[in-house]
Amino acid sequence: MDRYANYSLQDFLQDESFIRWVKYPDPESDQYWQFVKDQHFSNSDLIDKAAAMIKALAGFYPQVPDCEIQKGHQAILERLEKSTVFPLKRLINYTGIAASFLILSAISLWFFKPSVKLPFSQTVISDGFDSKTLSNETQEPKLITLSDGSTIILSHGSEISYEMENSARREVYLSGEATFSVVKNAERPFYVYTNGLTTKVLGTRFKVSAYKHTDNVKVEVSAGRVRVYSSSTEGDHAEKQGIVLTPNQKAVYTKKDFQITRTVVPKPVVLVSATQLKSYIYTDTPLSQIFEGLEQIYGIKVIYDKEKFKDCKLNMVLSDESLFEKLELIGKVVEGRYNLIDGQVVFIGDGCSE
Amino acid sequence: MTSVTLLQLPAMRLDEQHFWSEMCQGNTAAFEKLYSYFATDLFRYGYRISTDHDLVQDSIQDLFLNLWNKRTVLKEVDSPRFYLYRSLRNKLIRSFESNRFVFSNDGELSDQQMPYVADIESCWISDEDHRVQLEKLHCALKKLPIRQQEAIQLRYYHDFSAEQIAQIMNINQQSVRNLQNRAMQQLRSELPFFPVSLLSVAILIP
Repeated sequence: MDRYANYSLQDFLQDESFIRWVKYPDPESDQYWQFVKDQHFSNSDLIDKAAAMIKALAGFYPQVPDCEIQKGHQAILERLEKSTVFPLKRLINYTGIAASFLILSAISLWFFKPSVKLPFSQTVISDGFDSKTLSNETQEPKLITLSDGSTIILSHGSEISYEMENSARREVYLSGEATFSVVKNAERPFYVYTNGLTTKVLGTRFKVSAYKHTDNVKVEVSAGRVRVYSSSTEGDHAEKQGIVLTPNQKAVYTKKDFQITRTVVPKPVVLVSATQLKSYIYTDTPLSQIFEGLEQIYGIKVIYDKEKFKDCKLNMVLSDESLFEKLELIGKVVEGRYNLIDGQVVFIGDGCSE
Repeated sequence: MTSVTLLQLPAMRLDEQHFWSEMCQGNTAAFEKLYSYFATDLFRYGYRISTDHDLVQDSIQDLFLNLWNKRTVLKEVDSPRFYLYRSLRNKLIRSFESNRFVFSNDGELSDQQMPYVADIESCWISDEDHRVQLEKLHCALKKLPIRQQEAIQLRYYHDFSAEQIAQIMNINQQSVRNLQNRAMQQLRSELPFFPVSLLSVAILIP
């Protein structure tokens, strides 16, 4: 420790352990350097100066805009894609399959776990092992049955890797395209990892699109509830920072700025049975009741000024047109218009005079 | 205007060896993690030694693509950090497009290479700010030859040891110390009350 007795400012500035203490102090090194200070009291001022100097020098670096770093990230992704012989397929719509969702991911091979590719020799595989990777080299979609009863239809040229033995969660990493039919199990959520976005399934049917050439990932829900969040943040709070989507809502995840925005799907589907739908016939009915009907049919909340529209009464049959056509129609009748904000319909106007 | 960023300590060090070996085995998630972790600092280093920001962008992209393509032979790398910085510097040095590098006969960055006047003029000091002293210091640093700036940033921002800096910059350790000493001398002449006046500022830094 005596070596510090004759230390100059320059010596402190070049002392590795001193620099480390100034930049990354911990209780142990605090104690040590406090001791050094006490031992060489005459130098104490020098130590403070040296520490201040190092702190100031440590802040000396050029500013780099975040967009440059994102740009590099994106470019590496794209250049890697080009050099990979990974066939991509067009979207196949499996909407007929109950309780299933379709995941498309061109770039999700980023999240691929390294494992040996197994030749796809069986159409149905019940897994009894920990983590597996399966690929489909054939031209036909292949069916895989997981140990929990969920099934995956894997498209041509696609790969999945999955972990089914964990008692807390079921996890799938997808590259390419697949349709999932997930058996509901609230105790063991089902996670699908795609490019930058994690999708947590709470027993449902939905679609994920993560095309390589677009700047975003889209998730559309047609039944149940889905939670989506950015894969770049980790831990429990990442999930809380995400958003829950209910039927006919859609999330758009922008890769560039990691923002998730919620909106309404382009073609909202009817959530009630055909028989029920026929019962939504209104004659000289207050607007509030009609909006309630729309909420029941499409699961999308309509927000409006109840006071302003209290005198509006309409004749309507809700079984015919699409949600948006109906909203347009209502807008014409009561001289209002609608906006889609955060996965909800916001209806504005001046109301009706009696 | 000069923007002054106070020292921010990393909350947690990424287990770079772990992600590196995962990446060598073909784990793309680990590869992506390495990029997210190192990219900002590599850009900051690149911007320090080259004014051609597009070249820095391209070099970093190439660096990571090479990393992925050569992953099977990179298992032996002891310090991924060191490897990345040294590779980036070599890439920049090799690019003749680099408009900031002036090469001496041995193809190395010349000691005499001074920063562009435009860069120095952008040093605008606000007197109403209590961090004025820190700004003055950073301004003075920007007037130093590029190699001295490089050595200081590698040491105090990027946390490399003198030995590692010597290897990254392809010079011997004594030269690293000389660069640093010359930098300090010039700073003293530039800032006569330095570092006493600085102290009043630095205390404000938590």
